[in-house]
Amino acid sequence: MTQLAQSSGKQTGHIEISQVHIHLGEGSDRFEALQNVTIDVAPGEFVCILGPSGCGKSTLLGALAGHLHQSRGTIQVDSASVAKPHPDRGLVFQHHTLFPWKSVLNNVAFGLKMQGVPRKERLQRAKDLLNLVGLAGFENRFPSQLSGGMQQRVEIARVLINHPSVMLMDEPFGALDAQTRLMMQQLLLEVWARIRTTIVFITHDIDEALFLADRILVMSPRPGRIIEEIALDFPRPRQTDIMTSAHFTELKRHCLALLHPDSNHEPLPRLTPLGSPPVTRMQFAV
Amino acid sequence: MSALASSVAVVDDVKLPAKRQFNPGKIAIRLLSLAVCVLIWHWASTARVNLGIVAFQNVPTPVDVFHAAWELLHSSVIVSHLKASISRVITGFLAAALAGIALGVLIGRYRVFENTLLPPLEVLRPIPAVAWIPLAILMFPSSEMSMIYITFTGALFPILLNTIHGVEAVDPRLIASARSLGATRTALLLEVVLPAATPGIFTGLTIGMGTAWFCLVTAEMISGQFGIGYYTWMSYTIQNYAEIIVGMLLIGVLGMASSALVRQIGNLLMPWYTLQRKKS
Amino acid sequence: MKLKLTVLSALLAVMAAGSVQAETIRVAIGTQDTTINCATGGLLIRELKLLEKYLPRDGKYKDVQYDIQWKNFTSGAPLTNEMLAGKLDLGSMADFPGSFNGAAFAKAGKKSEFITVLSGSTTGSGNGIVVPKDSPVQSLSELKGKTISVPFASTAHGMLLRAIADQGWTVDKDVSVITQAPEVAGPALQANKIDAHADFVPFAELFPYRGFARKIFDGSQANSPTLHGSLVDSEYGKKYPEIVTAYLRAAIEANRLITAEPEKYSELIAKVTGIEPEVNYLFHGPLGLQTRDFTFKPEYRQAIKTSIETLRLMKRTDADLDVNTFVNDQYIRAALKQAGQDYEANLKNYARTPLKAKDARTGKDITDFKRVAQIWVNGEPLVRHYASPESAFADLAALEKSGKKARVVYAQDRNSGNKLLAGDAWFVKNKGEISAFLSKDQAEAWAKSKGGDVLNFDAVKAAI
Repeated sequence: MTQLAQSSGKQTGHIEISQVHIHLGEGSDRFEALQNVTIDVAPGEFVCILGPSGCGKSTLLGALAGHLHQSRGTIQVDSASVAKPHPDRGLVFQHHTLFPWKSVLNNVAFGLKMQGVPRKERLQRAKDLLNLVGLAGFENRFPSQLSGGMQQRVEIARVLINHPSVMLMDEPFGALDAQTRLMMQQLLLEVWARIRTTIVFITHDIDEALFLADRILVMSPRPGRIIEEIALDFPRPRQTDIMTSAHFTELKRHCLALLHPDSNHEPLPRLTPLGSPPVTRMQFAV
Repeated sequence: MSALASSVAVVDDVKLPAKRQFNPGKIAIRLLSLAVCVLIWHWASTARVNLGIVAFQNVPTPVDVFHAAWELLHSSVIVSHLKASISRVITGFLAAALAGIALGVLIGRYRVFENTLLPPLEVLRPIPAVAWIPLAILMFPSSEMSMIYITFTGALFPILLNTIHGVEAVDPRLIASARSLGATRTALLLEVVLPAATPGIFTGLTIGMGTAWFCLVTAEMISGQFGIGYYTWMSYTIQNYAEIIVGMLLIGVLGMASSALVRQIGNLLMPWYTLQRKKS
Repeated sequence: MKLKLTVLSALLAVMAAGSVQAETIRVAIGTQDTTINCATGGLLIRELKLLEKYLPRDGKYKDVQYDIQWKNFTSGAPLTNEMLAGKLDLGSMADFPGSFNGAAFAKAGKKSEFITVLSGSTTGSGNGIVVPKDSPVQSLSELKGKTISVPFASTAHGMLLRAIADQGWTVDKDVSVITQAPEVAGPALQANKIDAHADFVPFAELFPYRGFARKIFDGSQANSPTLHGSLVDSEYGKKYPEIVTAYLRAAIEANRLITAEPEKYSELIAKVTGIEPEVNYLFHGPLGLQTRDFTFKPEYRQAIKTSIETLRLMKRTDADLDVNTFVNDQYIRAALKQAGQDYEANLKNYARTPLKAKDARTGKDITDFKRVAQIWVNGEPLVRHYASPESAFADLAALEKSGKKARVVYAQDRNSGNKLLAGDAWFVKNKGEISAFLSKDQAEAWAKSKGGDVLNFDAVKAAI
C-alpha cells in the first residue's frame, strides 16, 4: 500500500496548455476541432472537461496523451513539451482496451513489463493494485470473462501501475449502467485520494462532473473553446448526498444552460483521442 | 481494500463459458449424411445413370473403390506413398507459414513494405501450380525441392493474405494504449500486433494447409515413384479409375485431417479467442 | 383462314422434309500432333482437309451432314479417356497406350479395335534414351546405379524395361526408374537434374537437336518393335464402316503426299506443332528413322501382345485382351484396295521409305542405301542427298566456303542404318572413308577392328 502512496513533496503533473488549436481531417474534410484553448492544471488537481458531443474534448485529451499534434500552441507537462505517448501520461478509454489474450493480471502488469521489471515483482505489484480496485481473485481470468465495470477497473489499474503524474480519462464510465457508474465514481475518488495524480476527466454528464471534480471547464460546441471555468468547493471526501443539495442543483441548472443554449443544434458525431471519427474502408474478403 | 471496493466485487458477476457438450445426435446426423451420399453414388454408378448433361456410366462403384482402397492400404508401398506426400506437404506448408507470416506482418504494418512487396506478390498469386512446373524444375537443385516449392506456392497466399488482414484489423486503440503504457516499436509488434493478428493468421494457416494438399497432384507430376499424387496420376495414365478415386479421396481425407489439426493447434494457442466465440 | 392454313401446312412440310433429310453423323478424331509420327493419321488429314475428300456421300450417306471434330492431346491417356466417355470415335496412339485403351473399353463392357499402324519400327527405333548434354555417360551400361525417368506406361517405358533386362539388371536394385512426362523431362535435362531420360517419338531426337541432351541409346538396340496406330470404338465401326474406311483412305493419301514432298510437309508439321522441320524430316524423310506402314506385320502384332502382357503386370488386373480380336485389319485392307494397293504385298515390305536421288556433289544416282548422308541447306527447299558421308562432308566444306550454312546434316549409322543427327554423332575416319555411329563406344569398337580415327562432327569438318 505504501508503494502506491504519493511520496510527499513531489509536485508532478503540472499541465500547461497554451493557445492550442487543433485541426483534424485531410483536404476538403479538414476542420478545426479546438480553437485557442488555454488551460492550467495544478499538480494533483482533478479537472473535468464538460462539453456536448463532438466539441473536441476527446481531441484535447488525445493531444495531451501524445497521440495527436496541435496545429498551433504548446502543451507542456512539468515544463516538458508533449511530443509522443508516455506512461507518465496514462490514458483510459471509454471502452476498455485490455489485451484479450492476456490475463487480467498480465494486463495490469504490462506497463512494468515494458519497463523491464522482473516477472515476480511485477506480478506481485499488479496483484496489489487489483486488490486496491476490488478485483482480488480475478487475476487469472481473461478480460472477456469480466463485466463492463470490472473491465474498466482493470483498465484503470493498468494505467495506475506506472505511477503516472497525469491520468487522462475519456468518459470512462459512459458505457456503464447508472448504478455501476456511481460505484465506479466512488471507487475512483477513493483511489485518487490515495494516489493523488493529476486527473483530466472528460464527460458530458453534468452530475458526474459536479460529483468528481475540483474544477470544471465547460467547452463550447465545435470548434471547442473553453467558455467557462467553475470551481467546486464541495468538501472531500465527496458523499452522494451532495447531489440533492440546493447548491448542486443550482450549479447543474447553470451548466445545463451553458451546454444547451438552443435546442436546435444537431448533435455532432463523437470524436476520439486518436483523431476524427474513423471512416470505414471497404475491405474485400480474402 | 475499502468496504466499497469489496462490495463492488460482489455485485458484478462473471460470465463463465458453458462446458462443451458431447452431442451424439450431431455426430449421427453427419455420419448419416455421408452414408446417404455413398448410397446415391452406388445407385448412380451401378444403374449407369445418364442424365444427358452428366453421366455415371463409366464411374466406378463404391464397391470397386473400396476394393482398390483395401488393396492400396495393404500394399507394401502405401507407407512410402504417405511418407513422401506428407513430407512434401508439411515442408512446403511450414516454409509458406514462415514466409507468409513474416511478409504479412511487414506488409500489414508498414506502408513502405505494402508498396514495395505487395505488387509483385499479387502478380504471382493467380499463377496456377501447373504453370510453375517448368520453372520449378529449372530453379531448384532437386526434384524434391521443386515439388516442395509447388506445395509452398499453394499454401503461401492464403497465409499471407489472412495475416495481412489480421494485422491491418488490429484495433488502433489497443496500439494507442500500448504506446501510452510505454511499449517500444518491437514490443508493439511482439506483444500487441502478433497476438491480435493470431486468429487471422490461424485462419490463413488452416486454409493454407488445405491448398497445399490441393497442389500435391500437380507437384508430384514433376517426377516420382512415390506419393499419393503420383499414385493418382499414374492410375489415370493406365486408366485404373477406381484407383484414381481412391487417390482423390485419400488426398481429401488427409487434407481435411491436417487442416483440422492446424485449427485445433490454433484453438489451443488462443484460449481467450475460443472463450469469446463460445459466449455468443 | 385459307391462307394461314396453306402457310402452316407448307411450313410443316418443309420441316418434316428437313428432318428426314438432315441426318448428322459425328466424326470425332483424337490426335497427338506432337507425336509427329502420327501425322498421317491426324495432323496432315486435318490441315489438308483430306477427310472431306473421302467421306462417303452415296447410298445410306446420301444426304448426311458430317460433323467433323478434331481434338489434340499430348499423350494417349486423356485421348482414351475421351473415347471411353463417348466423346471421340477414332484416335491415334502407340502400342502401349493402345492396349490400355482396349482394356479400359473391355472393362466398361464395350470394345475398341486397333485398325491400322501409322508409323513404326520393327527394330525399335523411335524410342530412345538421352542424357543431359554435359553428362559424361556415353552408353547405357554406365547408367548402373543411376536413375532413369520415362513417361509412365508409354511405348518408351516398354523399351526401357526391355533394355534394362538385356543388361541383366533388376529394376530398383541395379537401376531406378521413375515417372516423368516429356514436357517435364525437358527442363529437367536442361538443368541436369536427371541422370537419363527415355522417351518416344520425337523426344529422343528433339532434345538433342535443341542442344540440351545427347542420345546414347536407340530403341533398336533393345530390339523392341514399336508402333503408333489408330483405334476406333467398335460400335462406331460396326455402324459406319464406310466412314472408318474413308478415314483410312485419307491417311493413305496423306502418306502419299508426304512421301512425295517430305520437306514441304515437315515444314507444315513444324508450323502446327513447333517441332522443328529438321526433326520431322528425320522421321518422315526418305530412309527415315521410322517407317510409315499400314500393315500389321508380325513384329507389330507381337509388340501389341507384349504391351498387353506388361499391362497386366502394371494394372495388376487380369484384363483379358486377345490381340487377335483386338487388332482388326478389315478396314485397312478395304481402304488399301480402294487406293489401288495390296495389303499382302505391303505386309511383306520391310524397306524404309525409299530414296530416289542423285548425289548432289557427283551427280551420280545413289544405289547403295546403307551409307547415305544428307544436308539441308539454309534457304533451299529440298534436302541434298549424298552417296556417302565423305561425299557429304566434302560438299559441306565447299558450301560453307561459299557462305552457305547447313540447317542440319544427317548420316546413317554404319551398324544399324538408322538415320542420325550428324552434329551429335561420332565418326571414324579411315583414310578417305568416313563412317557414322550413334555413340562413342560404337565408333571406338569399329576403329579398333577396322582402323581409323575416332572423331566428332567438328573434328571431321576440320579434317576435310
